[in-house]
Amino acid sequence: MKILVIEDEPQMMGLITQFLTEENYIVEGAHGYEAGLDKIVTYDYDCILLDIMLPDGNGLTILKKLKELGKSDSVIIISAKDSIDDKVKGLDLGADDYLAKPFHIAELNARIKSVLRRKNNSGSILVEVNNIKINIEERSVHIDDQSVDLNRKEFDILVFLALNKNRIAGKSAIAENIWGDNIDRVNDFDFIYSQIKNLRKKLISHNAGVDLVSIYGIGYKLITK
Amino acid sequence: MKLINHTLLFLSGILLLSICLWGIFFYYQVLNQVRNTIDEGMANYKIVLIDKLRTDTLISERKVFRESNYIIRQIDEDIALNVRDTYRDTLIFSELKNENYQARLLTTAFLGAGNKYYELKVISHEFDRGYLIRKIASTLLWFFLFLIISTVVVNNFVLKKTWRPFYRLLGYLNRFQLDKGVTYEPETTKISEFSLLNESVKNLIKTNIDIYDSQKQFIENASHELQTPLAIGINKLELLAGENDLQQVHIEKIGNVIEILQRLSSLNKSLLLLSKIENRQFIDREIVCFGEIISSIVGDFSDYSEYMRINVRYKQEGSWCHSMNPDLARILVMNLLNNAMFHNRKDGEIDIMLSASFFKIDNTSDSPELSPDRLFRRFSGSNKNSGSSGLGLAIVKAIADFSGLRVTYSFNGKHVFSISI
Repeated sequence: MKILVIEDEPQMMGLITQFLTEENYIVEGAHGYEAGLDKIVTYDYDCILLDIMLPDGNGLTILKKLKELGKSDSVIIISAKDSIDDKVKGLDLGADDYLAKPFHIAELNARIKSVLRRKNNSGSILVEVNNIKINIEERSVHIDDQSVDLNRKEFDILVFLALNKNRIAGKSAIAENIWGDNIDRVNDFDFIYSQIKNLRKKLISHNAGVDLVSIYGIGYKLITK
Repeated sequence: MKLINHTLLFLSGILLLSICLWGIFFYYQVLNQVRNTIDEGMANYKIVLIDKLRTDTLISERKVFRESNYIIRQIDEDIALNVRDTYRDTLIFSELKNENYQARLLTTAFLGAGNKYYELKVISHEFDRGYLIRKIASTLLWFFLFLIISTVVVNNFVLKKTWRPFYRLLGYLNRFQLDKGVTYEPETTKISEFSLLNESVKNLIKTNIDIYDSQKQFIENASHELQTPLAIGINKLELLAGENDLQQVHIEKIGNVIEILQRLSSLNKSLLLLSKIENRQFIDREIVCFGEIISSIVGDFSDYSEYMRINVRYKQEGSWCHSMNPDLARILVMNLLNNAMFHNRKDGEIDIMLSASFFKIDNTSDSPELSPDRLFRRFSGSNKNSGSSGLGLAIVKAIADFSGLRVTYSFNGKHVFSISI
């Protein structure tokens, strides 16, 4: 899978590149509007991460150009300004998702995976980790073909952690993904523990091939056994 | 004291003093004049009298004034030679009035027929100083009143008109709030001092508003610029913690740093939000109903409140809708609820009550009554190290001010925050 990152901030670019490379994607970087435009005209990508606030141009123009070229690359817009206008414009122009800076890299990872999954196997949206099968559309989970009853939050946590398997998902990233952005107002994210504890019990009782481990002070990780 | 009244008081003081002094001076002038006139009359009368008496061979002594206004008695030569004409004030007893009255008395001596010396005393008609004083004083009093009334009239009609630009400026300065930033448009005036004053104030205010705005903008930009590096830092540390060759103790240390950065990041977010509110970036308004907002937020926070072991009760007695920015409405409720949870105690309670025109949130707490003055200020919270941003209530206040709402705090064993119009 090939991913293009159009981002002018070197630190951010480095972080995303490192993370996605570790996820076994092929990652290309473009540090500005012109470079990004060159890349999309010349090559095809499975997914493009597009920062729309570029020093030498507006990322939305790249998106327009991409659609004019009739390319089917998935696009996730990254915007520094938390602005509804940009979001609406971007999605209208055919972007697949929108992520406001600053974001958790685990959140970006989950978004990329969802976008790619939608693009590649249209119809059945399935996440598989060892003996667990998660159907995101039907919101059902099967372990060894046996259905598992999860509440809404447990299900969302499982999906989020499964999309970030073997990686640490920060407490705040989990909380914001499942409880919504507004939960970032709370002063202590440890409240997610009770849902994780219940989820973990259910996974163990169904002999799932994964476990949820707590990483002290940071967050949780879904590991494959 | 108003400028006009002050001027008036000052003027009337000076007027009163000068009129008094002038009155005294005037009194002595008049008194002198009157005396001189009387004395001259008496002198003339004396001459006439002496002319007549001198030829009288037999001058009968007159001991009392009675119907005529002189007395005569014979005196020795050596006394007579020492007599000079003297005028003085005296009291005469009038049998008619049965009282003393003031008059002038001329004492002189002359040589009559037969080489006899006589002393002659002539009195004038009644001459009442007290009456003179009263008359002068009352005239001057009327004069003074007249002057004061004219001064009041002049002050009101002329000075008020003259000072109008000044009062207008004063009214503006009195209403001026830096954060509202209304520029001053002074009315044109021909008086150069006022014109200069207007110009100076206008420039002063403009400079201050500009500085204030750029400060606000600076805070917003600074917190905005901080966001991404902070997020990158946190993400990088999370990646670092995920590396395989780390020991538990290292992961814990990384966890601590992440926690600190997260606190910094949330503080920064609050600061950014606060400056956005103050920079009026939430101008879209719609009718927002607090009933729905509160129940949705109570739902969102239910896991958190359960974890904190706080019992949240929500009683909706009415439905209250207000025209404001919907995002701000949510943030307002969230911050109040979060505040109520954060400063609560284990197994504590939160009661939310919504009526048709206000809602209030009561929470139990271990902390005593707080000072309402300091409560809504930035970073005024008591416990700095416990993860509180110190901005939650400042944000509540900023939202309330911006949205035409009133936030009040009271204490009745529980801490009560209420939002009303």
